[in-house]
Amino acid sequence: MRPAEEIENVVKQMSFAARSEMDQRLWAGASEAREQFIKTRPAPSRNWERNTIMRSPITKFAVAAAVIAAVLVGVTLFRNSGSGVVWAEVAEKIEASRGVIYRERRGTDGPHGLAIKSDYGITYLSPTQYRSEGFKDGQCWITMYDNRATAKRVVLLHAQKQYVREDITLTDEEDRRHANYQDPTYWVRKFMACEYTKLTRREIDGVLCEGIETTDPAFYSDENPSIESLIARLWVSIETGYPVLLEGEFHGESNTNMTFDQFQWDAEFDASVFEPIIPTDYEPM
Amino acid sequence: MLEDEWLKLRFKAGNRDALRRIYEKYRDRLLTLAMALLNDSHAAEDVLHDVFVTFAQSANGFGLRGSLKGYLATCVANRAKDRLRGRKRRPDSLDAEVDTACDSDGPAARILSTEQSQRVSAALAQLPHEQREAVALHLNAAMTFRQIARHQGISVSTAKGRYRYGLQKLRSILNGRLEP
Repeated sequence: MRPAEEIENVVKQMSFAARSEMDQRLWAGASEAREQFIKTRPAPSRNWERNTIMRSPITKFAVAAAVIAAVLVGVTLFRNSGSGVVWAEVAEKIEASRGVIYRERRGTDGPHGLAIKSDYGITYLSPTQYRSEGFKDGQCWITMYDNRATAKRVVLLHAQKQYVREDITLTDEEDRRHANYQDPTYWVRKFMACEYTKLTRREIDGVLCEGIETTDPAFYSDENPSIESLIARLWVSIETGYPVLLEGEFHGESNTNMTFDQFQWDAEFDASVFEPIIPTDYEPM
Repeated sequence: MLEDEWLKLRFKAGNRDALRRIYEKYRDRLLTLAMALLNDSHAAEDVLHDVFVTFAQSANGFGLRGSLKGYLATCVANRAKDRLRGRKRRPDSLDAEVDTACDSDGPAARILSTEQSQRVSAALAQLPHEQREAVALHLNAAMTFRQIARHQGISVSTAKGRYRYGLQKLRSILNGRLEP
């Protein structure tokens, strides 16, 4: 007779996966229902979001940031005629942003070591603090906290249950590059300093955007002087004047791409967002 | 998990990528749960279809509290239960003859699985539904006995009892039928 634990394991290991045709049917049903719903639903209520903050401690800080951003979007709507993006004001606007949350994806076929192990990262960035979580196969495998005011960094590796505390030396070339890589404001400034062409208006995630495109090598030369060609695009919401999508492909000895999206601008963070939490069973590396 | 919290926020905000990511992340796990409850790939597909269609339309009503995984698993369990009740109400239908496996074209036509998984699914189908549900929700959806008790409208000790009896029966059904 097999022990109960073995039966439990056998049931746990049971696995079924949809074949391509089933997958297509299922996704078609879900996406069609979604589109139908979006067409017919009333405008989302901001009151709902505000109430939810108080009930959901886990999402409190993120929702709070979203609500603040939403309110500011509303204010901006009154001020902006919607006639188009004033490109000279974009960098100014985001530099005034108190904080930002965004998703970041990077890929490279070269030896570059930054963030390539993650499918994507979610970053919370204030003028002096930074927290980023890297996800692989849906699991958060790394959390990084940088406090530039105190020049301290904490890195947690969740699978290994290990952590590192170290000093940040922003004078160091690699650290300076790292700091820049994480900051979408840096890339927007770079756009403004390069030659660019305007793109046709496009809707991204339901937001009407205007875009610019650059192939100017100066855009990436500080990061990689041996770059041979590049194409980068910045899409900004016509309504809010905030970036919605920033994407770039860089070709040279190695090929690299980066995408920043799902921005929530002018987010005001609770201090706890940047407070490293090291679980008691984690060991120092 | 933080990714799910993020996905829920994005989904509620109307983000299309969030729905896609939720779908991709949970499709096969929910399919496995549906197969554990129904042992019928047609019915499992129907259940998943209904769950994702309803979920896709639920952004306004969908709450941020609680686990996304648990929410979706409960939706699958409810739909599966409805489907089994429907079979019982139609005793003349073909479905009613086989509360267990009834894939006319075989599950392999639509689902990827191992023989072992099919054997376990067929064995689960021989359990009374309440026991099967307790076993599947605990082992395939990682639900606690408290969550299972709430779902089934019973006490925690009854949920544990159903699980224990279910596992014992499963053990005797599967004994000798599994690969070592």
